[in-house]
Amino acid sequence: MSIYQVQKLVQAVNRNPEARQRFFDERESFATEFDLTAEERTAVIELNLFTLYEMGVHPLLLRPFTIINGFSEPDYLKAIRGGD
Amino acid sequence: MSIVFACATSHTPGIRAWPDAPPADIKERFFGGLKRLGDQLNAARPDAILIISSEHFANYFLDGMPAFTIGQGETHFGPVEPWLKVPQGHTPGEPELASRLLSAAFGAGFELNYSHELKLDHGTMVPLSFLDPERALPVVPLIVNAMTFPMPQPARCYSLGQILGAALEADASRVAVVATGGLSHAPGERMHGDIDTEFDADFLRRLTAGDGDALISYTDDEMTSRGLGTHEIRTWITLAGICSGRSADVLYYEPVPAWATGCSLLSYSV
Repeated sequence: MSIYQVQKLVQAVNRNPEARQRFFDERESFATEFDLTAEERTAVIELNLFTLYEMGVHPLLLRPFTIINGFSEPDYLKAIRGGD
Repeated sequence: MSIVFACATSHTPGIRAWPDAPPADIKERFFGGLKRLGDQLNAARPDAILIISSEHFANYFLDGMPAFTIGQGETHFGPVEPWLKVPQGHTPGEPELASRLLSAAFGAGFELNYSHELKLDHGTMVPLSFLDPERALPVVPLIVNAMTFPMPQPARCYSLGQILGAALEADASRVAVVATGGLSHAPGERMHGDIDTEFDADFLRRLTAGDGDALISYTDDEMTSRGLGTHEIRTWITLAGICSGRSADVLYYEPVPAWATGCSLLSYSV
């Protein structure tokens, strides 16, 4: 319900290989393990980088999360700057 | 005299992970400068390295964020980043020196966090992979939260440095002190790629002038406006406290767009 839970999810994916695999395999189910609002859950499941950045996910959490999910640096910057 | 060498370096991951990204002349100057620092460090024959770096969620998260942490482990695993192009492994620690520094800090009213299982990330491993590639020297890491608010204020970093500096001078060990991080950069932010060369030049001026009052006057907003990564100058300010009274020379400063960081190398006369 606070940005803390979103960041906790991102940190788990970034740092815990087992959590990361569960995120890859079944994103929606993984998201239910955290106390997220509907808006937060949607942003995570859809990998809506602009929204996640706006919500306040720390850049040092968000960028590694996006590397893990295959975003190039130009695509990441374009997304957080609202270019897509 | 127990501080036998002291320097500060940038630690941006590109230095190891994409070393050929900058143009050849920048690479020659930056890597040449790093090599000179490595040669000087080893010529000083230290018994151990105290390395002052910043946290990047490698060890700590918002379920518990310490301001300062000393690594007391017999060894430290790192780098945690498998993509860094620095081999993952164990760097030897120096638990007894770490304990003596902790005692000095607590005795002076700085209740630092301490860990026997501190992991090392690019902040320590990028510089160490140049300064001591064989991992021959034992390392005591001091990790500063320069990442999530609130952070220890520059004045506290400088004071801690002065306390550690006095402890090191009284210590029998020969210690090399290395601060890492900075200068202006904004990794992962909308302003990623912005480098404030004026801010960086002014910071280096304050260091070479030994202007402690100016170094401790930085506000959070001043640093945030140059990129959240700029808060890492706290480690250099800690070193300035350790080396107060000694003169500093800038070996290198350039904005390096390929690494999105104002990169610098600095050493102290000891």
